[in-house]
Parts: sequence; structure tokens; C-alpha cells
Amino acid sequence: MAQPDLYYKDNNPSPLQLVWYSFRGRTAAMFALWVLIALLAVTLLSPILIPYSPAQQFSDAISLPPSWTQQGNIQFMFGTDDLGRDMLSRMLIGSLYSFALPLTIVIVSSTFGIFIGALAGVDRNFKYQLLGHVFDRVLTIPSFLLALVIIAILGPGLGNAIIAITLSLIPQFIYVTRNAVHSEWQKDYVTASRLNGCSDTYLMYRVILPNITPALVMQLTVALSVAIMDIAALSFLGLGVQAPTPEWGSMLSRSLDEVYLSPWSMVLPGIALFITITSINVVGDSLRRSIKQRMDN
Amino acid sequence: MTRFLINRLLYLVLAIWLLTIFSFCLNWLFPGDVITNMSGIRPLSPNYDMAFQLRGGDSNLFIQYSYYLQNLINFDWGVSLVSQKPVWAEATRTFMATFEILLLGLLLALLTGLPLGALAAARYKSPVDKVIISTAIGGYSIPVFWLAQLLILLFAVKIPWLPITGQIDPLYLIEPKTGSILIDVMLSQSEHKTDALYNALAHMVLPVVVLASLPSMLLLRMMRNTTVEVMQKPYVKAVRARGLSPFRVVTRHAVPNAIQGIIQQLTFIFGLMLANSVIVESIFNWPGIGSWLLKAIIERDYPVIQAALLILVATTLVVNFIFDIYRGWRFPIVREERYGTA
Amino acid sequence: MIKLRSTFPVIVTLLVTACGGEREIPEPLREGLVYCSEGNPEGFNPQLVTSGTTVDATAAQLYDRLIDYDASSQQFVPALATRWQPLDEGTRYRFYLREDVSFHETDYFSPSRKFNADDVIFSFNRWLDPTSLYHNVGGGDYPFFTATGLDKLIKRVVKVDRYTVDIILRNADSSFLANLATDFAVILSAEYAGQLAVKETPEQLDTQPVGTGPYRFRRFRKDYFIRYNRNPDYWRQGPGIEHLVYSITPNANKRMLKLVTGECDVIPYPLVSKLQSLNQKQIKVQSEVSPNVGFWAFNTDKEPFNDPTVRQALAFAINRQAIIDAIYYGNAELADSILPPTSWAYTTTSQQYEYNPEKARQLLDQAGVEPGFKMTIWAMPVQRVYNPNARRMAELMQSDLAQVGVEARIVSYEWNSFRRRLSRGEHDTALVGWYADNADPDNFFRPLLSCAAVSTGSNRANWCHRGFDQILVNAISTTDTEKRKQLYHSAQQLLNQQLPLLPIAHSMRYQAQQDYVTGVELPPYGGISFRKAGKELQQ
Repeated sequence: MAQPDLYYKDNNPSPLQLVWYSFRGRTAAMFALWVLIALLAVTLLSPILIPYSPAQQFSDAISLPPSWTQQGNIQFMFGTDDLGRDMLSRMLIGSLYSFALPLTIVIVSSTFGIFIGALAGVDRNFKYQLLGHVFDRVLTIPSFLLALVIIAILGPGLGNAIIAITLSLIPQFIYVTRNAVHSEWQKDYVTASRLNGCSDTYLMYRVILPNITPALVMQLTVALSVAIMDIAALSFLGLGVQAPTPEWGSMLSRSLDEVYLSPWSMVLPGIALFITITSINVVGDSLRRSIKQRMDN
Repeated sequence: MTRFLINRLLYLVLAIWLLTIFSFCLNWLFPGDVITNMSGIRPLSPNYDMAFQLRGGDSNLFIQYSYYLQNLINFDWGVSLVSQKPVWAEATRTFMATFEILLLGLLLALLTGLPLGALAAARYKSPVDKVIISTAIGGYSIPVFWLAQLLILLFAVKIPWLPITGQIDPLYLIEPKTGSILIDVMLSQSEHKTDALYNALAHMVLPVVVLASLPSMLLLRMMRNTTVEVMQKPYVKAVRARGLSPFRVVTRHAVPNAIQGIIQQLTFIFGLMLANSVIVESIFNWPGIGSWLLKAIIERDYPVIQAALLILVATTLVVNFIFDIYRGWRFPIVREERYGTA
Repeated sequence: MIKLRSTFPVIVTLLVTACGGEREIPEPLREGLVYCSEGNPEGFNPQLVTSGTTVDATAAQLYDRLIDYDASSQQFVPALATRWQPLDEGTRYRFYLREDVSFHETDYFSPSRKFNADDVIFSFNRWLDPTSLYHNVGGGDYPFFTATGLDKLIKRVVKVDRYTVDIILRNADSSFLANLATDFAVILSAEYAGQLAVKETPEQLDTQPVGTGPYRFRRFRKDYFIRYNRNPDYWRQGPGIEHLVYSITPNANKRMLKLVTGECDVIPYPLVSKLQSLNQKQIKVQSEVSPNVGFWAFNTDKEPFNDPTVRQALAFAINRQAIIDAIYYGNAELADSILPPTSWAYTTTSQQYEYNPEKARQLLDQAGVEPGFKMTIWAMPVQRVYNPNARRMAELMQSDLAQVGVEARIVSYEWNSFRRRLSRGEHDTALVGWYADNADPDNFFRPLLSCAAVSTGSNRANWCHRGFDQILVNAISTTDTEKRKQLYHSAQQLLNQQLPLLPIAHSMRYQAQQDYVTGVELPPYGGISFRKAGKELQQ
């Protein structure tokens, strides 16, 4: 049964909406966001968009330059690599590993991290205090090093790299959530709600969560750029994605042997990585500024 | 202050102790024989029985751990599975090599990031500011391994100014005693010290620049943001109104205020550089601890993996501790903050 | 800010002085030579190995042999032996040794006597006599000698007098002298070995070497460099440089760039087509026809590779012409036999394994290999003459195999671990190869495919075929060239049909160097020699 609005209600935007209003006003930020949305669309559609299989080798078109150059061929828009594989198809499928995969990793690790962090933020026991201090130490170890530690134990490979990066990102989320929950917990409005007799669960989901969402979203962008960089770096070092899977980092690494004959095979994945990470950083940076603006007002 | 120091020190010791337990556990997590993983001596070797005895192979875990700790403290870290050379000697050498470029990189990052950040803040919202800040975001987003390759192509191959890899031209016959190439050149008996020094410095330029690029951009942004914030404070407006030049305002008021936040971030930046050093070292063939670890991971050289991880993680912990103490000493408010929650 | 002002000019000065091309070349750089090698040596004693990387790093630089092979005159020439003569119908060879040859004086050993017959006997007994003190030091495996059967051929080595040695053979053998002239039959110092035995550190013999060669060992740092000094007391014309450094650079592209920037004086296995496209005038590229073969070995110990039909099917699945074009850039010739066509024993084979995926699938079905079958391709991590980029080759093959429903995974380790694991037979298939140590065709067969080579680990196919072994034995025990030719022809036909390995290419051998480097030799059989190396720099 629909509930009719009987009284005039002051439409009170949520904190996230407030941040969004401010974010919307930034040209660079919106542009970067659109780039990311387009990238996501292309990534998800990549299995349909690719003109050829990324593993298919055209032995009559080895190391063909991109189509806009003199020797280029429109059949292969971004040219081909040293084994005659279509660069465009490889870049597109590569986005699955270099963009969609980190995105999934971040979603999984944030779920764990935020959950644990929220628990730690609410509970003020001594053991959490101790845990918190040990945690602060773990946090000073950068995620890439942590991922290396895990890979060192598990051995190189894509599956292990995914596990390693997922695990290495969780601490950051726990930390951010715990601190955010902790600082909100001491605010007056929370105390008021508690006096009203709200349960802890209600407090968490309806009172605190909306207020810390912007901070978490920002942490998501940070983690995403870290995850993309880490998976590319691991693959570049030969510890992540293995041949013949196309991933931007590993494509870059194997293109180094070809830098002279086919510079595009190094430039293209590099630019793709650069644009993706820049867009994410611009979005993250603008978010941070918008959050600050909201706080200041 | 003393209480603060003891408190921090306790946490450091606790963290390092946990680290040794973790590293001890690695011997079981790695495949293969536990004693071999610890000592690098293969079961078929005639020395295996001795290593087994020395590491308490048939006693219980606690005794084994105490033997392990003893060996760690005595710097008997076993030998590499691949080269059969002592791990500790190589570990110190590679560590010094890494530390050398790390320190220079940090210095370079501070020397470029802070002034540029202050400049951008002084010219807040002007084109200068916009250019600097967009470069910073861009520079922050370049994958290091890509940047390294681009710089090699540009400054070593297209314009032959700088060498591509290594610490020094091997023909200078500098023995890697300490591992830090500058110190090694100074210690050497070579008759061509000056030439060797120049050569070593030329080899250092690219790795240091690549290593410094990311932290430099981070510092720049941080410096700019804090400075801008300080500039809008009423007291700054007051001194401005009295006719203090913007330059003096920045150097006298904004910078000292920004430094505290930056020192707090230095721990994070140091960790970031340590992580990036793995990539940079492997590209520039720099004989540091990062490339040592990487090779060990690929070759499954367990004693080396353990040692390298132990040193890398312990370094971040110790550096964190040092910055913490420094902050506690310079800015008493930090000490109070800590006790507020403890 | 003040800090910045004072340091900035310093940095600029440093940069300018460090990079200025006008500076005179400092003395150490003029007197030394940098060779950017492709990998770490396993040790410093070629007796223990078959790896080309180790041989390149040690054999011609640190040691001498009794005799050398001169490629231009195609004859054996004196080295540590001044002359030799066959006695007792070729079952006994007498070697007259050179006098006044001294061993290296280093910071870990000073010789008290000159080279004599004791050193020869010690060096031979190390691999020949299982009861000798040093036989089991370093594992007791002498793959080259086992694979060529030299350890079975030689009965004893006898000292006649201080400078005369007799080697007694079990039977006359046409390949004996050729094997003695290879890089593996080096002469070590018996005195040094004796001292080490007293100190109970015998393994040092292979890690801190002492020989009679043109260079003395100084230092080795794994993954970074090997340092040699000129041997001032060398018994013949020595090198024109004081120092020789092997700068270890596994990445082929980096090696090429370092040659371009002048950080390397000489590099092996250059990426020839790329070097040419760079058009650098100061770089010389030497090429030479080299007796070698790159192949794909099937581990016949494992199911289903023990079935010749499966091996043939996989051979049909591979587009080898595409490999020649993409990996060798056409600088190689498609191999249809393990022997290169330049060999006198070469024959064209009846069955050609042309690229034919349908036939491959059909044969696989016939052998009962289901689509979706998983296997591994082990690809060498380093460049060799016969294979410039095994990993990339494996990627090509991976997609070829995918077409016939075979899922291949590429496996690669650091070179020395890779070889160790191959010897243990951990692989399904492996991309490796061989280049000849001497001019005799036997060198292509026995080290690679005889039953004896299975145990030494140089038979990467782990293939042991009694009939095939018998042909090889028959071929080696006669000196009648026409008869040998017939036998080798039938051996090749048998291989072609059994296919324990699929030959892929016979490649040219390349080396690139700065134009001021002189005297660096690439003997057709064996490693690189810096014995006559020098530098001609304009002042």
C-alpha cells in the first residue's frame, strides 16, 4: 500500500547526495567519471566488441603499426604485436584483467574490510585496542609489499596474485572504517539516537553508515587505483598474469623486447593504464575535496 | 616523553617479535624440508646433519623457535639455496644498495615536492597552480615501470647521457664491500676514485629520479593543500594585512605548519618507495634487496625470501618508529593524542 | 628554499660532468672489456656441465686443453700438448706436454711448480675414475663425458715421464681427438686440488678456479658480474686487455640497448633484425654458420608422450614456418632433421611434418587423446644460438596447440633451476636445443638421444631405444666414412619416424660488438674465446 505524503517534508539530502552535488560542479571530476563509466562499459562489453580472438595469430601481419600510420591497415586498428595478434582485441580483453578484475577485488576486500572495521569501531574492548595498535603497524607496510609477501608464500600465478591483492587491501578498509565509525560514535547525534533507545544494529546501518559513506567511497577509489597498479606491477614482474593472457602490465613487459620495431605495443598499454589510474585519482581527489567542503559548511 | 618513548618501543619490539614468529612459520608454509628452508642446506648435502642438529630438528616447536631466534640474532641466516653463499652477508649488501637510492630519492622528492607545493599554494588558483597541480595528479598516476622505460629510452638511448643499468661501470673494479656504491668507491684503493664516483652518480640518476617521482608528487599535493589551508587562517590574513610579503608568509608561517602533517606521511611515503624499489631495482638491475627478493621468489630460494621479507618489513617498522618518536619529540600534541585513546 | 638553491647547481654540475661526452676515457675503461653475458654460470668447471653459458664463461678464458681444433685449417693443433702420436693401432695415444706452463697465481692459491703430467692425470681421473678423491665432489656427474662415451672409451691415463702421458683406449675411436679438443676436456691443477683436500674444502676447486688459461679468476657475484684479470705469465700470446668483465644481463633487449649506449663491448645473441633497424654505425655484427638445432623434446617417460602417434600428431599441429618468421626473423632454416644440412651425414627424410591441424587432431583421436588435454611446455629463460626467445616460441605453439584442442601451459624457471628440473624429468615437453661441440655428427646423436644420456640428464626426451643405440655404436666404431654415412642416414630415418623430439630450426650464430673491439673469436664448435681480445681506441 502506497503511503501518501500527508505533510510537507523538508527534503533532507543524505551526506552522499550532498557530496555528489558538490562533486557534480567540478568539470574535471565529471569528465574523469565519464571516462571511467565509458571504460567500464567497454570492459563489460569487451567479449562482444573484440574483432578477433586475442590469441589468434595472423602470421601475415606481424608487428603491423596502428591504422593511422602509413603502413597501418584498417583491419587492425591498433596494429598487431610481434606474434601477429590484434592489439585492439588484446587491449579490450586486457581491460577485463586490468580494470574489471581489480574492481571485483576491491569490492570483495571492501566488504570484508568494512564489516570487520565496523565491528572494531563499535566494540571498545581492550583486545581491539591491542589489535588496533598491531594493525597500525601492519598498515605501514604498503599493500604491494604485503602482496609480495603473500606471493612469496603461495608462488607466482594469476590466482595467487588475486588472493594476495585482495588480502593486502583489507587492512586499509578496516582502518578507515574503524576510524570513521569511531569518530562518528562520539558525535552528539549518535548519542541522541542512543538515548532514544536505538539498537546497535540500527545505529550502525541507519545512523552512522550514511555519514561515513563518502569517506568509504573515497577509500574505494584509492584502493581501486592501488589494485590496478599492483596487479599491473605484479604481472610486469612476471608474478601475476601468465602468457598468453593479455593484461596491460604483462603486455607492457613483453613489449619491451620490441620497443624499437613496434613502439606502439609499449605505448598503448601504458597509456591505457595511465588514463585509467589518472581518472580514478581525479575522481578520488575531487571526492576528497567535496567531502571537505561539506565538513566545512 | 619518556613514557611515550617506552610505549612506542614496546610496540616496536612486540611487532618485530610477531614478525620473527611469522617468519619462523614461513618455513612450514614453504614446500619442502623445513630445515632446508631455514638453512639452505639440501637434505642430500653432507652438512645437513649438522644443520639439523644446530636448528633443533628433532625437538619441539618452542625449542626450535628458540634456536631459530638465536640464529637470527647471531646473524647465522643460513645459505642461499641457489648460490650456497651466506644469506646475511648478501642481505646487508643488498640492503645498503637499496637504502642508498631510497635516501637519495627521498631527498630529491623533498627538494622538488615541497618548494613546488609551496609555490603552487602561493599562487593559489592561478595558472601556475593549475599547471603544477595537474602535473602532480598525472605524475602520481604514471605506473613506475612505464615511467622507467620511457626515461631509459629518452635519456639513455635517444640522448645518450646516462647509462641504463647497474651501479657502476664494472671495469672500475669496485668491490661491493658495504653494498652502497658511493661508500664502496670511497673505501676502494682505486686510483681513479673521482672518475668512478662520477660514473656511479651517473648510474644513480635514473633509478633515483624514478623512485622519487611518485613521493615527490604526493609531497607536492600535501604541501600545497596544507599551505592553502594555513593561508586562509585569520592570523595569516592579519600578517598579510600588515604587509608581510606572500613569500615570507609561506616560508615563515605556512611551511612550519605543514611540516607536521608531512612528517606523519613520510612513513607512508617511505613504505611506498620501498615497495616501488622492487620494480625500479629489477628494471635498472640495481643489486638491492627488492630485486634480490624478486629473483628469490622466481627461483624459489626460500632462505633468501625469508631474509628479504624480514628485513623489508622490519625496516618499515623501524622507520615508522623513528618518525613517530621524532613527531612525539617535536610536536607534544602527538603524545597527548596517543594517550587520549590509550 | 635556501637548501634548494645551494644544491641545485651541484646537481647540475654533476649531471653535466657525468654525461659530458667530451671527457677523456678513463684508464680503467680503456684497459678492460665488458662482455654482457646472458646468464649465471653454474660453476667454474666445464667438466661438470653441458650448459653453454658456463662454457662461455670458463672454458676458453680460464683453462687450456691438451689440443685445440683450428677451424680454418680444420685440423687439430697443439695446446698444452706440443705433439701426439697414435700407437698400438689407435688404441693408445701418447701426448708430449709443453714445459714451462704455469698455473694462475691468485689471492687464494700460489703454485709452487709448473704444469706437468700429474695435472693431466688428475684432470682426466676426476671424471674417469670413480675411485678418485675428487670424483664425487660437485655431484659426480660429468654429462659430456658420459654422453659421448669418453668415460667408457678411455681405459687408463698413464704417466710415462714428467712431460709425457699415455691415454689408453679400449678400442680405436674416430671421435677421440675431436672430443679431447672440446671445451670440456680442460686441465686443472693437481697441486691446488691437493691443497684444498687438506683444507677440507674440495668444492672450492669448482667455485674458485685455477687453470692455465689467458685469464685469472677474480670475483663472481651472482646475477651481477664475473671478473677476470689477464694472466701475465700466459704461455702463448695473451690478450691485449687487463680486465675482462662478464656483466650478467639476461634480458635480450636490455643487452642490445647497453651495446648501443656503449655499456657493453660485446654481446652474445643480439636481436639482429632490431639492431639493423637501429642503424648504428659503430656496432659490428658478426654472423657465422653454426652447427646447431633448436628442438621440441617430448618427455617419453610420461603418458601419453610415450606414444609415437601422439608425438607425430603434436608435430603436425605446430606451424614451424611461422616460428621461423616470427621468432628467428627468417635468420634460420626450418629443420627437418636433427643434423644441420651442412653436415656430411645429413639426409632428407621421407616423412615431412608440415603444418596440418586436421591431421594432428585425427592422429590425436586415433591415439585416444581427448580434446581439452592439458600439457606443459617448458621454455628456456635465456637466449641460445638455436633459440632466441623460447618463451615467445612457446606462446606461438600454445595457440597452435589450442587449435587442435590441446591446452598448453608455459613453464619457465631461472636457467640453472630450469636445467636441474629438466634433468629430473619434471617436464611434459621442453623447448631446448643443442649446438655441436665438435665436427663429428656423432655429437648430435649420442649426447642427445642415447640411453646413456638419459641418466646424465642431457637426453631431454628421456628416450631410450635399443636399436637406435646400436646404430650409433656401429657408426662410431668404424672409420669408413661411407659406411658411417649409411648408418647415420638410417638413424635419422628412425628418429623421423619415432620423433622423440621435433627439430625446429638450424639458426645462424650472431654476435655484436663495438667496432673498436678486436680478436674476440667465436669458434664454430664451442664457446666464445677472449684469448686474443683487444681494444683499438682512438686517442
